[in-house]
Amino acid sequence: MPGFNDDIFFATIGELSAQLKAREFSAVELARAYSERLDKLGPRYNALALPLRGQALRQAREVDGEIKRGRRRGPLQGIPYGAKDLLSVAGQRTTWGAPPFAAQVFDYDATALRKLDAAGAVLIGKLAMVELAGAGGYHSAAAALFGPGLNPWDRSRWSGGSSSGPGSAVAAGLVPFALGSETWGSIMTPCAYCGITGLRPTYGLVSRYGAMPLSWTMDKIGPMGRSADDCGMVLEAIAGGDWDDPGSAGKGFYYSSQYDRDLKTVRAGFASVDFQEWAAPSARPAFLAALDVVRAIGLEMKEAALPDFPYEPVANLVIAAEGSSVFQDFIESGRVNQLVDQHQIAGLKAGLEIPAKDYLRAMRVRRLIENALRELFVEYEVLVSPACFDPATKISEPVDAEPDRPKPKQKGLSELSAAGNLAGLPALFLPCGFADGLPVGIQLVGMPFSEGLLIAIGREFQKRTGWHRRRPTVET
Amino acid sequence: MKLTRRELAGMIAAVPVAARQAPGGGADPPEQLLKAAVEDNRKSAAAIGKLALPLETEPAFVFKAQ
Repeated sequence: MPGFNDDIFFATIGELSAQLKAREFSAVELARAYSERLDKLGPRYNALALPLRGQALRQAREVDGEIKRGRRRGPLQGIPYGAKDLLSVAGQRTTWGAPPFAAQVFDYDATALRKLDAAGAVLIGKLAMVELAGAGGYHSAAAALFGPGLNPWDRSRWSGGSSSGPGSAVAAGLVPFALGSETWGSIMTPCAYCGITGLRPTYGLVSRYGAMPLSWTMDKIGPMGRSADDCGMVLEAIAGGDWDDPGSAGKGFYYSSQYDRDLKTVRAGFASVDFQEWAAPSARPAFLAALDVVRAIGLEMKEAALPDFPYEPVANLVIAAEGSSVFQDFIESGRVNQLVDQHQIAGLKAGLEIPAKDYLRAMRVRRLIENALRELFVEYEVLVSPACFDPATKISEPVDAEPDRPKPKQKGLSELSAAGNLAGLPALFLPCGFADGLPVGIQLVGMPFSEGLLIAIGREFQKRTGWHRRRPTVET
Repeated sequence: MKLTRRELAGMIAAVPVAARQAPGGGADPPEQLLKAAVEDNRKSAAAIGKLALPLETEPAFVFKAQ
């Protein structure tokens, strides 16, 4: 077995794929090395939900056989990865990060995992998450079966949620990439806090079959990895129509590293107030420098603001009503009281009391939001904003604490995360520097099914910056 | 994979104590938290209710004929 150094654990999919192709190591050797690292270091960050080393090595052996026979399946063949523990793997525990579901086992694989299997990627473990993906609105980073997600850059800080395990595991080099999910901020936050790249696909582009439902109209599955390129490769493998998902858009995604459009013709919107007032003072230099890089790529940059809507109340109400309906039997049985976070328990119970008229009105306003954003995207093709305005919170602090600085008068694009998730818009999250020694990142949000454009801008951004190559000190 | 009751109990017990003590979570009794959560939803509904809604606006559901 070759002696793997740290560079391997922080390599991109493209680099690992080239080395596999050149037979510098085998898929079994790679899967073994990553599995050992994940199993050993995953618990340090409370990132590991379930090791799958045996299954991974069997699969990797098959991949090696295929490579030997000259059967190439694409860049993911033989690449290890992890999956958020809300995606079912037949015959294995799928805990949804919650004590009452600690022994839950399904007899089928989630579609996204099945597709990765078909692409030859090797699942080496299930990764930890906030319980029930924060269905009831959580207050504490500790609202998780395996403990609070610890940030590899500083273990006294949170790794973000609800895809906490994928965030920590990718950042610490325990997996080359992972699948996470986002209903509202659950890919964005761990990517920003842990300094990794992630992609929230357009609603319906990736099948949700086999994933824990939280909000039928807002849940998305997406990749978290080392670069925009890597996210593109993974998205190509997991996207596509699925009869098992009633929300499936029936569309696929083809990834090419050669985007056929001159980025200088792309119209981008940003709000100065996001970068200069909403952002934490310590993070402003990094955010402003990132904006300069986007400008230097040549995009036509113009000030933008979201149309005036109550985005956050709508998102809160839709998620509360749908999430509580999903878990109605669980709530009414009393098992909900076994959850870790008391706020989450209260939120789930309260969601059952939302009158139909309130939910329907929220969904009708959501229609207006979709229409208004569609019009906004006639003027702009991409919106650029900080992903999170502050670096990672301390584990000991409530995750929903308001920052102790006055709220700016202008909203700018500060509600872009709520707006984008309500309208099912895709977003790419890119690390863009550090504040107080912790990573921060920006988001690029585009119109539905514009992932190719977002990734092309992200790739160019990452050619000009090295933030996605930064790695935390990981003692082995 | 099946877990025995003993294994399951051990697993839940293994959740770090800190993980079971949400910051501030112990301070408010459950009834008070529930009341606050209901009030939050009511406030959200009130904020949404302020917006004039054209009569013909349909909810943002996507229905598909089977």
